[in-house]
Amino acid sequence: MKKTQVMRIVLDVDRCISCHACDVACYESHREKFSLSRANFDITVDLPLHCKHCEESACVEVCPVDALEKREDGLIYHNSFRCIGCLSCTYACPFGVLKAERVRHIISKCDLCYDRLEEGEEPRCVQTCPSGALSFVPITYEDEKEMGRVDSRIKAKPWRR
Amino acid sequence: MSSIEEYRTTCPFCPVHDKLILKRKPSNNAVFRKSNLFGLYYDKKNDRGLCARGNFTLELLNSPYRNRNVKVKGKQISLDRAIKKCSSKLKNISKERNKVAILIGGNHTLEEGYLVKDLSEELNTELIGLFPFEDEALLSVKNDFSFEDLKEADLIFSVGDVFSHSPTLAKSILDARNKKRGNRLLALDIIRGRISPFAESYITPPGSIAYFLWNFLRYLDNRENFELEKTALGLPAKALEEIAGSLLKCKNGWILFSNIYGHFSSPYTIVFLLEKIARKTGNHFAVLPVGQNTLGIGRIIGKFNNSTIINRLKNGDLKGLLTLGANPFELIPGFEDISSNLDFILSTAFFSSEDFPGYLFPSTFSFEKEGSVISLEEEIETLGEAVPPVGDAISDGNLISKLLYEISGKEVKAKVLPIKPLEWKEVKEPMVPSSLADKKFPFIILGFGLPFHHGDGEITRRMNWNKKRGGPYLFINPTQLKDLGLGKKVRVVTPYSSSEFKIGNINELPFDIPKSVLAVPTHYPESRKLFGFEQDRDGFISPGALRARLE
Repeated sequence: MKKTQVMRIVLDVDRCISCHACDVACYESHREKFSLSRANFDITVDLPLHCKHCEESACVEVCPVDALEKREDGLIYHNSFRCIGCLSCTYACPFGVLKAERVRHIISKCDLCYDRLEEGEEPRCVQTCPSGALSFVPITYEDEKEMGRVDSRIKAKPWRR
Repeated sequence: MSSIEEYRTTCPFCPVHDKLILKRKPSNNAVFRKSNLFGLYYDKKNDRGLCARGNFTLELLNSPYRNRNVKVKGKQISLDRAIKKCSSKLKNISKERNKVAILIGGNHTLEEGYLVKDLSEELNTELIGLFPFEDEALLSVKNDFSFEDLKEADLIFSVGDVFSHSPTLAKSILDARNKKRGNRLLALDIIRGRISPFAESYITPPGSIAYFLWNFLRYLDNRENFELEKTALGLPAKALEEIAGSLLKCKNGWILFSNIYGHFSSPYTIVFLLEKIARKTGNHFAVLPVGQNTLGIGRIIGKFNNSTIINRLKNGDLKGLLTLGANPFELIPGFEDISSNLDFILSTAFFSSEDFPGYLFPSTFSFEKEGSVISLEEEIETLGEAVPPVGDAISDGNLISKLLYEISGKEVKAKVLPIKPLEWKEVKEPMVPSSLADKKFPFIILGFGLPFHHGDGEITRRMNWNKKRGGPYLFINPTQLKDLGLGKKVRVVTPYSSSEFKIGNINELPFDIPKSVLAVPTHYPESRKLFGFEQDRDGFISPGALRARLE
């Protein structure tokens, strides 16, 4: 059964100025782990790419040691003590947002800054975004389908957008 | 368990003064680095967060590479002994007039500005210089800026890449553009920068903006009998007409100017003309300096002698140099060659340098001192000491007070004077720009700014995505790069100097570089030294685009 409404990080491509402030905020606040991926569309745009915390998550399905688990609130949580760095989830992820850390060779992924959510604040990347491109908003499954057409929007715009 | 103290303070990296909260445990004076405790707070100014540089505030504050002790030629000495030695040396060399020069940065507080003025009188010198050098041209402007009103603008005309130099203004600017159908964002620059994809972008050849604006002003005066084709400088002839029409039609229009080292030629002329255009068209005009408090410091000191200082350094006429807030070897191109002419060098800097030939004092961050600064809105903001300085670091204001006490033997009370913009001086008609390149130097090199570096890039280079980058990098048109068949490294030669660069991937940046143009981020010392140190037509050290060749 699809959930009616969940809180997710949404990127407005028309506002992202590729300043990497979200990367830095994420890196600084997650013990220097690198949890955000970058998306390159036609090698012309450099946009932040978050874990979507999918409703039916392929990464959770394939993890052989249950290091990835889906919480009740829909957040996909990564347990770094269990992770053996097999990279199965990186291959399974349809969005390519899961990547291995360079040093420990295990996965680091977006946790939606759940420590802040509990305090009623937004994730750090959203709060730091200087151009207002990232927002943390309630979305429905139908909204999510509509939002998936990023590539075509970029192509439709002149020059780099 | 000890309580946690919170300090509301401002980001020190640019004049926007974004708000942030520092949290620390009073028991060990440690600032929390790992940042469950690092936060931002909203206010009418930033309304959002920090840019990439601002997010690295704590990394800079807690950097293990920070200078914590006074050093003389790499050897550590006590603070009191260093001050005594420095003051006796300064006393000796300042017997003759104008033998000592002081360079002050745009990130100092107003109080430090007053003290520098007092110190110059005590040292019998009028040679005070300001850095960042490109900011000197902005000091005559009375900023007509308001964070609240900017969001309500129906037209924003940006000259220079505002999104790269002050990224936290991006939200206000984009909010204004998106607010109503018909609101516009125009950008005038010499290359397509970070703001260009969001704006109606007008690109003129390097070195021609002043000439373009001169003609623009003439066109505003006499629109009937103006030959558009002759002055449009490679733009469609209607560019002048379009910009003028938009500026005259709008009700709440804004003109913003943002420069960086090696980008615009004759910035003083550009600022002078933009101010006139803003007045003529009834719009707001504001400049965005590089330094946090350039507008305040510049107006307190009043007159700077940057070019006289550099000339005297080259001729060996100076005996002593004080650079407050920067290492002169990173600041002044070719300082290695001229430093031997000096008897005495005093510098305050964040990072230590083992082979520094003079007295190197540890510098304080703006969170570690008290004082006041001028905001973009021309209001005075006070800064409190949020955390105690590391090691032996003392603020430049305290250092100057101690030096003055040792030299003159009396307590220092800085004279507080009114802070007002400097007087405008008339500008000459800009020359018709011809191509800068010639047979010997077939390329044009220009500087640009990136939002995710600080200083020489050491700070944000620790990021994973930046580690692989290293530096220094040079960016070139990808088609031309393919045609030239260059390797991974290349040497750039200008009439002033030469440096080696790695070839950067332009696709990593939202920039578009035309053919025969080389673009270098100017935070690298290797880039800065290429631009030399010459006065422009208005008497400022503000190098613009230059001729160059590749080897």
